[in-house]
Amino acid sequence: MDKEWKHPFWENYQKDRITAKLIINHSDGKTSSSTATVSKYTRDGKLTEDYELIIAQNGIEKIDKNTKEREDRHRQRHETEKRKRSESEQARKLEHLFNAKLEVFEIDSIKNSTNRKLKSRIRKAKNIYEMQAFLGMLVQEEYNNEIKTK
Amino acid sequence: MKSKQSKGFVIIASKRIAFYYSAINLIESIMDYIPDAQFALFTEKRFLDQRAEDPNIQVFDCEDHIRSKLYGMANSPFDLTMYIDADQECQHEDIITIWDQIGDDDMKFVELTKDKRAQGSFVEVAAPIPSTGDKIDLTLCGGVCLYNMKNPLVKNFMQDWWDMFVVQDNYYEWSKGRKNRPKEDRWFPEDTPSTMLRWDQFTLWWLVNKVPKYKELSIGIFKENYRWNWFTSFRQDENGNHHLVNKHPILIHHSASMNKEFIA
Repeated sequence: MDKEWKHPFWENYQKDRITAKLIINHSDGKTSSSTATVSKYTRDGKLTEDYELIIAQNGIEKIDKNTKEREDRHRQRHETEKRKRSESEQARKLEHLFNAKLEVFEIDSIKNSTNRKLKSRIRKAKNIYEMQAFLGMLVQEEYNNEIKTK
Repeated sequence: MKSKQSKGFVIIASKRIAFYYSAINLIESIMDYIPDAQFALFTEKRFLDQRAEDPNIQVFDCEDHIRSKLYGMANSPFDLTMYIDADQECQHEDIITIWDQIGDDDMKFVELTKDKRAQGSFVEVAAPIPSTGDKIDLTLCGGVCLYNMKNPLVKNFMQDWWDMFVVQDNYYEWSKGRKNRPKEDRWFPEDTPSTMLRWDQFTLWWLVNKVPKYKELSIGIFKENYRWNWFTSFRQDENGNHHLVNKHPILIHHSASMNKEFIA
């Protein structure tokens, strides 16, 4: 049986733990593989056999390089996910804003209002708060008109 | 002397009252920038309220049909017509340039580009027809269309689009078990993927690519493409810039995001 360690990377900044793919070539010709994490030291402070084998098969530089590439990949994925979440949140807000505007325009006093300027300001509002501010102004105006005509 | 062309927007609101509400919002959003714009609103009588009594809006009756838009497009009262899906909203003053966009073309569309973001926004964009060896490629979007009805061939095109879609849709409904076998002969190959029959873009693809007489038509793409039909599914970046366009969109399409169940 012989062991082959592939794609190793440091698990921590102390560089005393390595994760790698372990391929075991068995004496009956069969091969098995798994992912394993190996510590640098045994309990009594000696270097572990597997650690020494990984270093011998791959070299420190290769492990450093793999670790950096892995970190970069993770960082990039994290940034992409963050960007997607932010875009999705922004889209959700705009969708909500559009649907809210359609509902607002169906309120009787707004629907029947002839004040195109304020209706336009409601329509062009960039967020729900701006929309509500102009909506309040228009409702107030319509209310005042109603009082006057009574 | 060059005769004066009538110019106007065609908007259709059928099936659900939410489309009527959105259509009114679309009309008023265009009026925000072009106060004297002319509109033809094709809708069902049951939806109408006083907002459609505006002197700039001509109201026409239409069927409770999923693609009444095609009927409305074919029956536009204007020479130069801009059709816009009812679930859109005008958000930029460049709408005033609409009538110049036609240039020397008979029709102008927005093109669905191969961009991943754009392709991902549509359910189906391509499919083969094995018997003819054709590959249906739905590159022209039907969300907006600027066209010159003064050209009789354009008028025929629009009428065929509606008539052929009705047949195609009857076959689609039959394939889903919702209708009896249609009486009309199918105009499309029998092995056309049935999923394609849902889309009026398939009819459009057929008319543009498979009907010889329409090869004479000059069909163009809007210069700033998606600015004239920007789907909310394209999304904005962290800084609020709209993807796939260089300037704020003129028409925003709320296709999937609009609340269609909304009843005031």
